[in-house]
Amino acid sequence: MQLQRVGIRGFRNLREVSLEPSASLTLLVGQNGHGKTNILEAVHVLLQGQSFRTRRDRDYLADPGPPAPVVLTAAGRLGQRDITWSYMYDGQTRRRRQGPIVPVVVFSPDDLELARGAPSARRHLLDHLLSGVDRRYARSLEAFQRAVLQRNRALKEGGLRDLADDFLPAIVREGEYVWSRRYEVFDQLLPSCQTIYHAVAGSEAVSASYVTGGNPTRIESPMRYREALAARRGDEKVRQMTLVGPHRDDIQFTVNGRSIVTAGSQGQQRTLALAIKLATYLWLKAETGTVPLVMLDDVLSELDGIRRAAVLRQVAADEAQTIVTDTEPRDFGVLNPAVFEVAEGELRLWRGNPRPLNSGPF
Amino acid sequence: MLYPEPIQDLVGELSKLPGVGPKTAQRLAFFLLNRPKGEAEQLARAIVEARQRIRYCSSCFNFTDTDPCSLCRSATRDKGTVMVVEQPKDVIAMEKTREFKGRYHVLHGAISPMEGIGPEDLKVRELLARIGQESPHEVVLATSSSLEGEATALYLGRLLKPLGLKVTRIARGLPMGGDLDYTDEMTLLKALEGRQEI
Ligand SMILES: Nc1ncnc2c1ncn2[C@@H]1O[C@H](COP(=O)(O)OP(=O)(O)O)[C@@H](O)[C@H]1O
Ligand SMILES: [Mg+2]
Ligand SMILES: [Zn+2]
Repeated sequence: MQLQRVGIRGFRNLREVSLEPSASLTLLVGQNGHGKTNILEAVHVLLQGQSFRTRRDRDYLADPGPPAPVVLTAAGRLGQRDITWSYMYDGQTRRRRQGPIVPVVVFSPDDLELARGAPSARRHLLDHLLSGVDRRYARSLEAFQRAVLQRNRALKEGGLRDLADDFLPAIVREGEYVWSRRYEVFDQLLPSCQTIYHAVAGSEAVSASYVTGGNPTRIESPMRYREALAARRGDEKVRQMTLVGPHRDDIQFTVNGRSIVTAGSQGQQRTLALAIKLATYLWLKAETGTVPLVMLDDVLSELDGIRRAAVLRQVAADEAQTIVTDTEPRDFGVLNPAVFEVAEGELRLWRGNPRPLNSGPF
Repeated sequence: MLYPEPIQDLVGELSKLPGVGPKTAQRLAFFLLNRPKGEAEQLARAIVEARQRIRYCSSCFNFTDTDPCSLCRSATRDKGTVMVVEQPKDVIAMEKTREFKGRYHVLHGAISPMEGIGPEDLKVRELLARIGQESPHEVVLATSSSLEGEATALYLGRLLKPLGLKVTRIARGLPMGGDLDYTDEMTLLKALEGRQEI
């Protein structure tokens, strides 16, 4: 879907915003705290039905002030269905969404966690990708996680220990499916992640391996899962928790045999985070058959020229409709962005000339 | 400014109900106050009556106003088959299929370690006592297809199998996480017919 017009009413500090993004690159410029991320968030809620920074729709209601409905609308190119999303809370929740779900990839400074943070950051990325395209995955993951919580609680409570294994069939059934899809996505993401990393970092090449939670090798059948659990029974009794399962997975990235996550330079970590996110963009594009909308929130200013160019070449200069936020305008040369200014929750066309930047990417 | 005490009390009591927050409690309170006096009295009476007259059936632990309940007293119901369900509403759902001719046993919940609910908190001991007395030839485990319902069925299976009776589990045709009472009659019927010995 190519967005032609987005209407935002009563979303956080945005009273009434109408955005007509460019087909390629759109720039939202403004001081911190004026509403740039709120605009991206509203577009995300509209296209995906949920935010990337909260799970409670009530957070969107303009505050302070009397409760007023939030209304988001999007119109795309001719022949494509409009999307509307509205929300109201007056003691009761009234939520309504119409129109197709559109894939979105958000780049944010938090992406660095993928390359230097805990394993959960990398698991969440896979879960987020898969849940977006596979309903059964979302259901299996939720059931698996709940089953593990139930079992772990049973292992901890003296009186209930006897019940722990009554949750095992669910753990094995759902966990095995979660693994099968995660392995598949990992194998699909890895080559493009490596290609992109190499293109940005020049001589360096990154390798990665999927680390199955609590087992030295991949677990690809319910029977193998049961065996792996059985092998760690003693351990589980002592540590009072489920030790084998997708809830303990990780992805290990290495350069020259050294872990990027625990021993990489800042530059390596930035490049890796970028390569992972760009790989997810390519994966979503292939998987859904739709070009995702791309949002870059406060990331361009943190990247050097080479990395900036690598991102833009893949998205805005390719075919992705891309929206970028920044605190000052930059020169994007041939990409010729539509530039808007965001001030105190209002949007207007940027009047001045985009100020050329020394290390402009194009 | 605070509301007069009787209104505060009413709101306080209403907000103890499941799924009712303070805002909704307020709305309900004002609704009741704006209706004719007789309606509020009828509601109050219905609550008191139900609370006084309804209790657990001493045999199946379903809600009843006579003990034993009408199902347990009925001569046409097969004593040889006992269906174990989580909630009284599940009995209603199963009765709608008109297929099951045995008797019920209501657990009043499912095993959930996270919530601290184990067999002791359910009518499990009562089930065992009943099986000891009535010696049914089949126990049908019809707990829901939620994680907790599945775990409860597995636990009961482990417990009952050694007693030497036939233990069956209704088929997994139910939608995952599906409560019995949200399931349509056809699906429920198929789940019952497709039950398997465990
Ligand atoms: N529910 C809300 N109602 C009104 N204003 C809000 C709400 N939530 C956040 N804000 C305001 O939005 C601003 C943050 O906007 P944001 O888009 O994050 O800024 P930035 O331009 O730096 O990305 C803050 O001033 C905050 O007070
Ligand atoms: Mg921001
Ligand atoms: Zn009874």
